[in-house]
Amino acid sequence: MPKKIAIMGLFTDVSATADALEALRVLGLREEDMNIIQGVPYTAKMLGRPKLHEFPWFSILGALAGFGVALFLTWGTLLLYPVRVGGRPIPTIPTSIVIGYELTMLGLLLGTFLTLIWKCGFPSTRPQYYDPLINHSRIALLCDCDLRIEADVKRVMLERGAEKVYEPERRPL
Amino acid sequence: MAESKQGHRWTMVIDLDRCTACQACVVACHAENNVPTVGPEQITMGRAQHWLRIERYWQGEYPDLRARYIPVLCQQCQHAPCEPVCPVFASVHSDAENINVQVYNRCIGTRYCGNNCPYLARVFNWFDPYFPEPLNEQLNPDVTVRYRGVMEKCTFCIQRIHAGANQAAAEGRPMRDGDVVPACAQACPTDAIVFGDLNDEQSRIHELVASKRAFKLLEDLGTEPAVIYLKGGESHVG
Amino acid sequence: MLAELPRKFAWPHEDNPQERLLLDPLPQEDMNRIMLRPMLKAGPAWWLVVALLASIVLVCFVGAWAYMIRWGMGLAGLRRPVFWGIFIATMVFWIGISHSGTFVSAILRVFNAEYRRPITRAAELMTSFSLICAGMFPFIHLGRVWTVYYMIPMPNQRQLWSNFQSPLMWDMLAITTYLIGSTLYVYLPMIPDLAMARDHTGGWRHTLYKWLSLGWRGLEYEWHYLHKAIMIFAFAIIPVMFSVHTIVSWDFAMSMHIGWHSSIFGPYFVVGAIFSGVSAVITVLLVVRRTMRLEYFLRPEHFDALAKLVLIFSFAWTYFFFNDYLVEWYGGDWVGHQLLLFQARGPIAPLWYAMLFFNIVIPWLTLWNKRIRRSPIALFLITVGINIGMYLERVIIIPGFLQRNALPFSWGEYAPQWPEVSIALGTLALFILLYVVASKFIPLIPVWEVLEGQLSHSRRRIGRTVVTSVAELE
Repeated sequence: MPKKIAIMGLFTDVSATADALEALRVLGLREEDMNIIQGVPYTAKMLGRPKLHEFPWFSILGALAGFGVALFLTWGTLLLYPVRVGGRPIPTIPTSIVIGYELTMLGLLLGTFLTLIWKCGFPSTRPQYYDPLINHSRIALLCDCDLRIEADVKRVMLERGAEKVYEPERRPL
Repeated sequence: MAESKQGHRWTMVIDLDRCTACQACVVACHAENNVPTVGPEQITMGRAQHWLRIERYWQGEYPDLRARYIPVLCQQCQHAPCEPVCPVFASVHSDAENINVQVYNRCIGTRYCGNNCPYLARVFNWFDPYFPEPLNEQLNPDVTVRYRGVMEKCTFCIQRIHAGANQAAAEGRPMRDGDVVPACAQACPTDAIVFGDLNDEQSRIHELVASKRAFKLLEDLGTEPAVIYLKGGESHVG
Repeated sequence: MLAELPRKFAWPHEDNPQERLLLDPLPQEDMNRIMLRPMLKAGPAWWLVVALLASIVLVCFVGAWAYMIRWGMGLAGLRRPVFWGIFIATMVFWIGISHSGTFVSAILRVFNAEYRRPITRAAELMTSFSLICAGMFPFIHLGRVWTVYYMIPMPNQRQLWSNFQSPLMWDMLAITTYLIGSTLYVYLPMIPDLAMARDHTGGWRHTLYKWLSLGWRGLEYEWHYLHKAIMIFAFAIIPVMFSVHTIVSWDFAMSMHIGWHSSIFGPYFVVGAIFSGVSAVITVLLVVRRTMRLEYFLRPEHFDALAKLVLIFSFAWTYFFFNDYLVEWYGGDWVGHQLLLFQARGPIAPLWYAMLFFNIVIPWLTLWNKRIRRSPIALFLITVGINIGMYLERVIIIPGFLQRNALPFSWGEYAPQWPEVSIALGTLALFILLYVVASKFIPLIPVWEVLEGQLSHSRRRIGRTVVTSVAELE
């Protein structure tokens, strides 16, 4: 297996970064070998990258779970342990709708939050490739490239306007 | 449910023609149910703690001034508005007696039931009850003494209902009219308060309820109270 | 170095295009520095304010409450028929304030209102803190607070569950949902700024931000999932916001009580909450802008836009108020009329007129004027007045309306006693204390959102003029 090496290039401008990405694609790097680390969310379109499309399954699951809990609390408990109040039927539908709505929304929100946590691997305290300069108007282009084309990759980045190109170390955040 | 032919349907009839507003029923209720007296400062603040109160309305202008009285207590509604609003089921409907029961040790004191009662029949224990000597020796052992922070109201002397039921069961017979006499009915000198089981066709209540003078308080609210008033003569509410 | 801010950030004139934050970009590191600087040092003034507020909270809130728990609810001015008073009115007030954040950060985000960018987090923090203050009152007003766990629906050996038909249970779930939802919603967009703070601090601050930022680096997929989550939250938290204050209003509307049993309470309370909340945002932002020297981020344009919203919501509130009033006045029954007389001529009349003055007269007379909308002193006074008016509205509706009912012998007067005033003031101090302490730890301005906005704004020529142009970045 050819060995891979990580190379980080710091750019000051989004067009230069997009140019560099294109040039790296010509060199043979795949999309998943290249990563952009940025402090401002330049969109995938601006960078010329394919857009991620994902259906929020987990959020829907959370909403359904919330609805299930609401159903149990309003109908389940009253059918198990009926208590008569106000001369009303046991259980009542309009009041169950209120509880059902609230817990469904809570489930949706928690599911969405947990999606983010899970997909991004948060919380992460392992040492990572990172450069704090991204908070200083820099965009970092991190790529995993084959050792054999390492010199080409570095040259291409510098040609496209990288301020600095180096081999990063995994550092604790 | 509104009509329940099973079990008892305890009902009270208050004849306003006979009521003289002597307040004997109020005192009797205090004595029977361990309702504390709150003292003059609390009364001034408006916290008189009566399960049964005599409401007095002035009618007319001086010198033709008249006082009209109506004893108001918990109406033990079939569609009680105080029941659905309690978050912990401390105010629930008893299917056996068909009255509204207040569960003191479940009450957390939100006082929503008090707000929702259109008859203002519920009272709250703002402080710990204080029974000055020798009133503490007069407490009724059949009734619990409520702690501060708990709502309470007329229970139709449920302890007497249960005592009557136990007595009838011990004697091996069904309950009869006259087995249960709540404290207010017992104390009333003019027999204005009559109590009984509407499901018992032999009871006095059964006949009185059909009277042409019968009305229910705030009937249009749809609470279906179990307390029926009989209109009085010209000097009474009606 | 930005040791001293240039004069132009004081309160510049509107014709200057640089007055617009999104047309006046600074390098990212400078913006981060402006935002971080007040967080990294705590002068004696800050400590003094914190000490003062903490002692007020300890004495007026915790102390008074503990005393009341020991001796009983009778210490408050409550009595039959006024079973709910200042405590519940203050709770509703705080829940109203909580609508500030969600309105600014969620509704304005959904509508792509660009002026929301610097103010979302400061407003959303208000939501979380006011919900904490509001959430104290369901405990405070209980007769037996030590048994409050009876309300929690969990299996127990008594085989008793809570009554979900009760609006108080709906309250419990709605406020919990809203608190969790809006705290997560303030947290999500904060993650990149917390990561920035992590990179610029050392010591215990660095450790704190390292954990709070969850290991954020700024990779594309992280931004993608964050953006998706924020959008879902923004859309989802709006109906939650509407439902929360509607459910709180249903505490009253579900009851049979005259004046309370009104189908208009749901929308009336929601509109009143947004009215009160947006005004509170202006009040808080004016203070934050001055004390934390954030004049670069918080410009007259933001207050101008918010003040216009306040005026619109004043119209909306007046519409609902008048609707409620006219229906009762015209077709109501005797008890309803007694209630209206009680408000206009009874002992509560001064409060009623004061409410109308602060909520209608003052905004309508002032907020149409651009100079007033851009004047910090005027806005501060007007918005504080509005919140006084809205507090009075809750006092009139809750202990006020309870004083009249269908049985005139059982009418009653209510006067708040010292525990109620003390605890209400204590929660105000708690709110301010939470905010003051949070401002030292939480970056109040979402710099990355401001940068995103500056990326999308440009100036272009159309005909003889140069106009501001906003690009769609999605």
